[in-house]
Amino acid sequence: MNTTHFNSVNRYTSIYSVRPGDTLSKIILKFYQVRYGSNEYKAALQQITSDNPQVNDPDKIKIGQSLILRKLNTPTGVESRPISANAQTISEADQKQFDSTVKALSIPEREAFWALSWLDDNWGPASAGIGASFASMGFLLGSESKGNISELKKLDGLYQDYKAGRLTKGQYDYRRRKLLETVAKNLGPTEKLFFNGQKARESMRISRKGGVPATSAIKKNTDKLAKLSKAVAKGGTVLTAVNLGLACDQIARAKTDVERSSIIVETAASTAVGTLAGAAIALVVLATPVGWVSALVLGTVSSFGSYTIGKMAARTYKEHYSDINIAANTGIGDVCSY
Amino acid sequence: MQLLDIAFVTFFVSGGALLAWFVVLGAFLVFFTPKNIKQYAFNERHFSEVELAISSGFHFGSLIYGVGLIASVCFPLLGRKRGLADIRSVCGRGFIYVCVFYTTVMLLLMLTVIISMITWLSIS
Repeated sequence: MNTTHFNSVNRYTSIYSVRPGDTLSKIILKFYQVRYGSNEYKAALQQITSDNPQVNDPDKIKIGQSLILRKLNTPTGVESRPISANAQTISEADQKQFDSTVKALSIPEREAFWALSWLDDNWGPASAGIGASFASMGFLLGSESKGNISELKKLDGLYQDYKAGRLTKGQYDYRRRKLLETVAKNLGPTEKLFFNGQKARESMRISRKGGVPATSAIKKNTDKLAKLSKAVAKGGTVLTAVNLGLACDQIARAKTDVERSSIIVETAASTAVGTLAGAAIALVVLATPVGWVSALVLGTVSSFGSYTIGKMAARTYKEHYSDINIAANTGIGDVCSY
Repeated sequence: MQLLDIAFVTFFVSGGALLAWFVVLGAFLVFFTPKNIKQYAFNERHFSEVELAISSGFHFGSLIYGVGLIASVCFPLLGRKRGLADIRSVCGRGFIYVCVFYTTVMLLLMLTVIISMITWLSIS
């Protein structure tokens, strides 16, 4: 997946992929916070239809269709920069590539892509830390062969043993309860998060009524968890890996040398602090057990810390060292260019 | 050169060195940590199921736990709560020296990053 390309497109303006249940009025409300029927609504609708000539009938938009959404013209008459007048406009070939790639993605992958774009726009270099947190989440859940998911899969075996008469009702109930208690303990307060607001025990209750296979609840939930685990681990790893690409993309789009250099300073500073946090955690991880919540808190705190220090370092650079052209002196400006 | 200049430059140089030391060299060391030490430490006697899931594989979580193990060889008291205070008993002399050197340098780099960061933050 060419994430850098996607994110760069997303950054120039918003490109929205129509989802099931979307209407133009819903999209306008979501992006422009204006309600149907108002003057602003009409202006937004007019702008969208003129920016997206492929939308012949505003009442008929297709799922997966890409819509270009740009800032509305301000009331003072100062026009926002239209995409067509922007030097960084999307070429037809890029648009086609974007459309076809987005179309090929599954719905969860599309969701992950828009989430990555949002993170890129809002967090920049700190997304590496967030990515690492996501990756940890995936590994906390485990896979089909180890971790909590494999524990849940054992339930099926217990039930088969019970049905085959190898376990008494009391033995089965006791082992099942112990197993679910272990999973609940491992997941901690996030247990309900992974079982749609239910406890693992409630969610894994085997239906003994007719029509539903006895182990369908287990299979459904373990499959769901396995997919979730794979998705967050994959998403987190991708997010971590593309971080440098994103910074490079920011550098390529920066207009001045000072801007380019301050992005380099910001990225380097936040990476240094992120590494410091990782090293500090490594030093204490054996001294104190780390659970679900602690892992997420540590990830979030280190992300926020590295983000803040990065911003402060960039500000210090602009205030005191803006005469030093880091982008040119290090050659990073040449490497990161379109 | 003023104090701000020195602190700002030191922060980036030590930060880069820490990145290389902790991530690159750390991953190398974790990979080459003898199997018997890993098997002795990473089991259900010392870690929860969740932690064992994090510490396996090749990713950031396993790096953190792997470096944590190296640090506990350097400072066995770190692993006392988990019953790993005797971790050195399964380590060769050479591996203990390597762990002590790696952890000490990492601590020095961390201190340098922290001190230089506090210095430039308080001046600027």
